Amino acid sequence: MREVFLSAGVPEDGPYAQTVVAGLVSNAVRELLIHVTSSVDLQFVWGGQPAITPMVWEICASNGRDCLDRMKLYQSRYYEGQYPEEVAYFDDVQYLPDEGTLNDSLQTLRRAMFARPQLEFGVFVGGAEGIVDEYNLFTQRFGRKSLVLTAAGGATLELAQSGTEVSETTDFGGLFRREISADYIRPPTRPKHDA
Amino acid sequence: MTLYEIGVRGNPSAVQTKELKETLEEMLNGTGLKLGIDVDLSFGSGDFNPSSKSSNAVVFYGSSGQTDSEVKTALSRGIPIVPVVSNFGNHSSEIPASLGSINAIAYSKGGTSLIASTVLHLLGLLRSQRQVFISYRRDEATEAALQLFNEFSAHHFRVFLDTHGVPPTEDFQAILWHELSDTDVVVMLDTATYFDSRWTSVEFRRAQAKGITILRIGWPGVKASLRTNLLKSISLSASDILANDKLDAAKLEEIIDAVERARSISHAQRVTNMQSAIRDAVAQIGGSVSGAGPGHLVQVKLSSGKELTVVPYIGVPTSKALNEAETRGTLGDIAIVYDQIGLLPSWQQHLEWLGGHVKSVRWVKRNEIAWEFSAW
Repeated sequence: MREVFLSAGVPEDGPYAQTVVAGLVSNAVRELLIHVTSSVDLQFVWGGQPAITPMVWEICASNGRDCLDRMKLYQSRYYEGQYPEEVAYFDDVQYLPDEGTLNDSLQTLRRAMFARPQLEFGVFVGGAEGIVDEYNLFTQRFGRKSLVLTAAGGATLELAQSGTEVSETTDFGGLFRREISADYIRPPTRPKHDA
Repeated sequence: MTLYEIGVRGNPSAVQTKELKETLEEMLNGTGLKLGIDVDLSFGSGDFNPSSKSSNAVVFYGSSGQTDSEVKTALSRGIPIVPVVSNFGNHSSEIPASLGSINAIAYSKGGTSLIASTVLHLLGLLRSQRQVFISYRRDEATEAALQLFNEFSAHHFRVFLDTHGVPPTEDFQAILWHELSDTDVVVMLDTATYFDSRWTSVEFRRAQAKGITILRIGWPGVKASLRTNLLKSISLSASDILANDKLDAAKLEEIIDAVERARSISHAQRVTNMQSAIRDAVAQIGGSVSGAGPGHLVQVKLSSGKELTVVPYIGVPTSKALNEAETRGTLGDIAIVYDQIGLLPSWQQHLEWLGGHVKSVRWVKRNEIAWEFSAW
């Protein structure tokens, strides 16, 4: 199983809020989720961003419940009491301890996610400073491929400036299909819920 | 900043050029969108290759011996092309073969106003396509909601109020969220008790999964729900709200601008996503894109040699779409491709039932294109 990590965010304050394009961040997230949920040999890893977790569940459900076990949710207990209710819908959640401060808790969370041996791809879009830290930590292990999407602005532009290889395209779906290739032809499935 | 880009290529006469500019200006009048600033009219003789962050279309004025060199990139990117001929009799001499399957507009018949409205339709700019939904809590933001209603109407939007009141059963309008399409924007007036009382988790995540464009306006001191943190948010300070509970003029303008920007990006993305999904799926099964059709149509040749007309449906497909596709009379069978993510399963079942009753046209879900086409 090949694994894909996502780091995405829309900062509301600060310098990155000026350049971030929310519509492109959410579109990139959506296209990525459609791609990974439709591809039987991909797994998806994320750190419990509360706007992303519900989308993962919903898009997964749209594609057929059997994609749920390929979705790997990492949740920091620093946010205990604030989890979106969808966290409870996932079978296999990795909870990481509250380390006292946000920064320390995030570091623990990131280290856990990035220790996954089959983690191959990282998608970085929008975001504030945290995304740069995540990129740096993610790329420490050899053989990882990063897709830094600058069209959506935000802190990814910092990465562009420091000479990192980036993608300027807005055809996110096309990019994911090309760079994170997977077997795409599969029999149609029927959504298994109707809430 | 440019939200929409219209390329003008081929060989328009001075009169046609002047007419197009004036007609577009007239049609955009009142929307607040300025030709030359928000909507760029790009004349020239080079290959039209606009930014992917804008919604784009190109008008191609045919003439004797005209090649497709100026629209080669448009064809490969799936940017819609509107061919114009002097009259229908001259079609084959004035239009290059690669644009042959697109129904052209005859300048002698519909003229410039038909060209202009066709282009605006492709960009999602016709009044009928400019829809905005204002979602608010009645006892907390009525003045502001009505003010926005008037302001958006003045900018040529059709405005729908999604009023959440006390008691919860009293709503002015029942909004069917799953019917919102790509060009529609939901403006949420996030007041003290609005979010949790209006949105169930299911509804909100479905809206997100469907890719509905939502703009959050945060009332002073109101903490945004963590679920909304991928949304564009405009936070109001106390000074932005006047004594009569209305918003100040500068804020109003900021909100209108944000809506215009959000809808143009949303439309551009929907078109890009669809065109890319279709082209990649076709390539994957050894087929090829043989041309473009009117609007966003794609002409496809499967590896079996079979010709297929692919209609990317942006939004929630209806029986009207089936009807239109059927009566189009295009080459070969017709596949209407739609994005089913976020659609209610009951709606999907309805679509499948409907599709089963029409022989020459079939519905295809966006992520099942390769599967369906390979066995067509």
